[in-house]
Amino acid sequence: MAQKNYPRLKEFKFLLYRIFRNPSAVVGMIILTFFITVAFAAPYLAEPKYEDNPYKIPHKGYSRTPKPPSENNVFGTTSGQYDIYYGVVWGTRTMFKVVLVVITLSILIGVIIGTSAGYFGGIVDEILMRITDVFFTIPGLVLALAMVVAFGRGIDKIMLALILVRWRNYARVMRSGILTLRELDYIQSATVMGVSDLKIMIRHVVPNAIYPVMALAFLDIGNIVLAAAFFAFLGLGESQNYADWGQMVALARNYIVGPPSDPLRYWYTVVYPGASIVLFVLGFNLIGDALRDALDPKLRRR
Amino acid sequence: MKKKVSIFIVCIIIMVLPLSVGAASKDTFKWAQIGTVGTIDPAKAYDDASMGTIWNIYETLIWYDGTNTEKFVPVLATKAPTVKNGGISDGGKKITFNIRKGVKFHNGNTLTPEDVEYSLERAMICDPSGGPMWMLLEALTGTGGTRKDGKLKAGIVDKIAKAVEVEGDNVVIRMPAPYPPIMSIFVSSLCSIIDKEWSIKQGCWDGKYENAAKFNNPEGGKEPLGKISNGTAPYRLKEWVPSDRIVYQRFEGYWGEKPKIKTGIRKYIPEWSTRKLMMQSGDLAMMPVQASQLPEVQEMKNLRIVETPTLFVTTAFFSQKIEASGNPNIGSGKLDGNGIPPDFFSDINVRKAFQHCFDAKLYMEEVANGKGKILTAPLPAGLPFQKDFKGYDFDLKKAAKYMKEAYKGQVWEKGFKMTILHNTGNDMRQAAAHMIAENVMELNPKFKIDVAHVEWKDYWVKYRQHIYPIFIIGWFADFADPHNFLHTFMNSEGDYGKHIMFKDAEIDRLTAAGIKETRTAERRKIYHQLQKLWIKHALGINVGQPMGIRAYRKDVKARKINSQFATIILLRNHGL
Amino acid sequence: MVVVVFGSSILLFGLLMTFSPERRAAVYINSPQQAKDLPKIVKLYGLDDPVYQQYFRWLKKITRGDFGYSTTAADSFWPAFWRYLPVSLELNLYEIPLVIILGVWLGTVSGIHANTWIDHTTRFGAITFWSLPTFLFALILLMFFYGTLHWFPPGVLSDELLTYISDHSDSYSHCFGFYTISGILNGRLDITIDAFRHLVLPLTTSVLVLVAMVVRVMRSTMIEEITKDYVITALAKGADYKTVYYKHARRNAMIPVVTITGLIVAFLVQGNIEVELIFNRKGLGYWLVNSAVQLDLSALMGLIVLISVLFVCVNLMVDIVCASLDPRIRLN
Repeated sequence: MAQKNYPRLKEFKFLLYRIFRNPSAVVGMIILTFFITVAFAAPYLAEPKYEDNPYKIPHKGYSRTPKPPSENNVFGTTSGQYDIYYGVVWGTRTMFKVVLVVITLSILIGVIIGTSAGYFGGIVDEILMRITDVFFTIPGLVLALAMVVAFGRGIDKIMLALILVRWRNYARVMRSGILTLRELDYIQSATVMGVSDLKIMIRHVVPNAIYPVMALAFLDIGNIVLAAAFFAFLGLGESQNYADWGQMVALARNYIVGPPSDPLRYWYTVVYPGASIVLFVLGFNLIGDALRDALDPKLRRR
Repeated sequence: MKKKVSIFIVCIIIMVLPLSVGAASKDTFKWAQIGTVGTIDPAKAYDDASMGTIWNIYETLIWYDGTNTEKFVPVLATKAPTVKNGGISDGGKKITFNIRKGVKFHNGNTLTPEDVEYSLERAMICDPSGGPMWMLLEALTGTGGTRKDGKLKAGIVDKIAKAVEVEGDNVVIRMPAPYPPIMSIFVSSLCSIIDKEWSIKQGCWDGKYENAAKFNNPEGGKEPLGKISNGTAPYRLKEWVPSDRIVYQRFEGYWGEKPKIKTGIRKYIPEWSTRKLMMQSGDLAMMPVQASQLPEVQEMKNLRIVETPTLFVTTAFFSQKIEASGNPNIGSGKLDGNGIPPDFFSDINVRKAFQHCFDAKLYMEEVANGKGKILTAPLPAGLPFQKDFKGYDFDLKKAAKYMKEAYKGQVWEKGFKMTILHNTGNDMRQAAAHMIAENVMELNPKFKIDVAHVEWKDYWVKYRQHIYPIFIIGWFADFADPHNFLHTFMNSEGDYGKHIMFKDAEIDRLTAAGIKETRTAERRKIYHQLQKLWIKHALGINVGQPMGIRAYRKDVKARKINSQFATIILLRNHGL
Repeated sequence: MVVVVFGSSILLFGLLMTFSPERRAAVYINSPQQAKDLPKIVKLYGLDDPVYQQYFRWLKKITRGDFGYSTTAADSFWPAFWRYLPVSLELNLYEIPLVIILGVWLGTVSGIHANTWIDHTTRFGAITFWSLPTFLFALILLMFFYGTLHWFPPGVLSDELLTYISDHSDSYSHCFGFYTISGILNGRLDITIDAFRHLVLPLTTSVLVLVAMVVRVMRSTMIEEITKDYVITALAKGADYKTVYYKHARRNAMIPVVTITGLIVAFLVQGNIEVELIFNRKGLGYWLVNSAVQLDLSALMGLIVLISVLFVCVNLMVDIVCASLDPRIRLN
């Protein structure tokens, strides 16, 4: 009986069931749980040297040549003698920071714009969608690049640029979702009954149109991480001692292959931060993929 | 299916096979560099990459004698003018060049003294913004530019016309005052000799002084000689794919000794890993290497490392009057533990404390891999009058002592917070910035210094607006004379001196006197004194004079490199 | 449509105008020595004029087809554009078919064997590649296949052959600068083979990374398709499942894949930025990144205008197709 009263909860449970029937989603979840744990436990796993800014990686010496794992540096040191272990641990926090801020804010902007455009239609739709189109015509990576260059370097600037580029996807998805919902009977009748626009949107329209946005968001997280890493690689990120995986890969770029006699000599410089990026992105992508399958009406009740 | 797979495998084999066939041919010299060549107009080029290209395809009147930067040998002149041979007369104000006969341009025209006169005058009349022509103009007309408020200065064309005259087979240069470094300016690419007849046909200055204004300051990218050339050098420009590659070909009608290499290809490869791999695979004959990258190259086989001291100095300047409004780099802008006052570095104790925090020895060992020289004053070794005076050693105790004295103890008590910036991608400056910051923070937990980085061009703009409390920047010799460094770095009107916002009457007097003085003993005294004053006032931390390092493939022969050309690749000096 | 192109040019122009005039003048200089002339360069190009004046000056030039001088390309806009374009196009010429063929194949297999280990492995593999940072993957491939094994060099073509082509540029038919094709046309198979050798690594990287996109769509439509009545009927009647699945079902399932080719067009324009950067293929993506990082106003604005026009055309086409597919959208 209780279930009947909470159709959304039932729907959600069904969704979870569908997601976890997929083994890759389980793998994704395990990966994410691992990273979340590392992010929370960062101060215990690697004690910061600078109290006021724990993201600064400690280092001893300035030599560009990486040093292999040892007792003091369990993952070895990368170019500039920065401790890889410390960087990877605190880099997890950096990544979560980037992902959460960018995805939350861009969904918020996208949902607001998409909802208003789709629900009100007419001139509002026209204006908002033209603005979205403007953002769409410029390739995302290039627009974000131009923005980072304009705002200046640093992880916060990269985040801002990514937000300004990413919202457009959500606006579109949200709008098309709402366009189909708007014509449905129950919304129409709510309007006729005189329920206010805002209430209809928040209570009825948005919750029903949000799932495709969520699926997109999970898959987008991977893109955000990769874009942020690429910007760091291009030299648009923080200072070199900042715990950021993209930054660490950039530091290691010359050491992917060692001298001809010993090509794998510096493997640790690229494997730890590189694998962290790949796993992190993979975790989100696996879940996102499963989520999208679960939501796909065509595959739903099979 | 199996058939498809086997076809695929055969394809791969075919692709891999020609590896050995494509080995470098014996008379082609390929090298990689990072700079893009913007223009090959001698009057406009003012960066390593462009000037290097010009030096390969044009010739100047004289050249440095081997690795010496004070002695000269003739090229398009028949002898290098000296006081002894009468080439320099009138107390150093008149220089006579006897022009070589039988020299052919790449298009077959013959070199005449008129070409020489035209070349120098045209360059000065062009005087493009951002170009190098101030050097010649300052020496020959006494003023560093042809324009004031965007218009030609009155009488400047007349001065240019009179400064260079043809007299028979000679070209005579007359200067308003003696200018000691003038000879090394004649080596610079801006004094390259072009063909008058051909240049006028291409749309250059028509040779008439009344029309000079029309040809002054051409728009960037539209200089008539920006993309084409007709020089006398042993190599001519065969193909130029902008920001990709330049192909040089030996000029068979060259007047002098023919160089050994027939074809030279300069490739623009911005990514260091790619360059390194190409070198490792033997696809390149040469590439320049930064000192910080040296260990990666040293372990590669079949390479020879050649080192040349550069005429380049990197310095971390203290800006003594920082822009206060809206400047995030000085925190609160007050001495309250959360920022620094705009005149933070005007207290000499602070400057000295910072000086003592730079560990020059460790820096040389670990960052520069032992290649280069730590200077105490911003004058590179290899230039006349350079002397290693005692500077500031690395000593955190002394640094702490000075910090305690600074601002009557307030700095020590309250602490401060600031940001040091360096330009992105420059390993050496990055390491210096981090080293200074970390060592200063060691002194007192209340001292907080962040290190950040910006695009180099942002850097050039912002340090001039005094946004940076400390700016780390380098200077490459325009010509081989101490004036070029000490005036630039210290004079209150010098390019860098202007922006440290420090004015000292004695420094200004000495830097101005140095360039007018012709007696060697007097000049020595002046420049020694200036170096001592630099240390006394602790104007900046000298990060050092880097070594110009090149990696050659084993089979490449190369002549010794002059310090002035440490970063320039001259094809004629190589053989295979 | 025109509004959107205008809008994007204003957006970008506005963004670039947030820089001080001196900073924009710095684009024209290349050494710290030149910095003292910055105020003069500002005057020369009128960089401190009011923003609208500068915009209209730019607009006026654009309408005349004058896209200005690109400092990153060290060339005028159009010659540089025609030099960069074929490099990107040639990569895409092979990349798009490869991505689609491989994607459709893997997607079909995955769909037919849905929720078996074959399906999970394929999808897991595709998603793993999709999760790789392209630049890092490219660098690793380059380091091993060029640096260690010396198999596949970076760049577009070997210097010796480039020199040969420029020596014989009168008799050599260039075929838009596609070396793989022009080699065959001119009877120089070595040029074609060499060009392919330079293409192997960029293609491997981008195909592996992008294939997941097609696999996804293909798989889900395939699953939908094989549960349809006509497939079940055909199988029940005893038709060979291979013919039914691979011929009929797959053909129908491929329609949505065609629509995402629109998405791949976007990639074509962006020109595989990371791949071009690492493998030293100087194409449009390479140019875009460099002009964005170095603030090359002419190149950036010119490219964005061209891309906007192309994008608007593609979007228009997608809209038309969508409207014809979904009557609910057409009503509005």
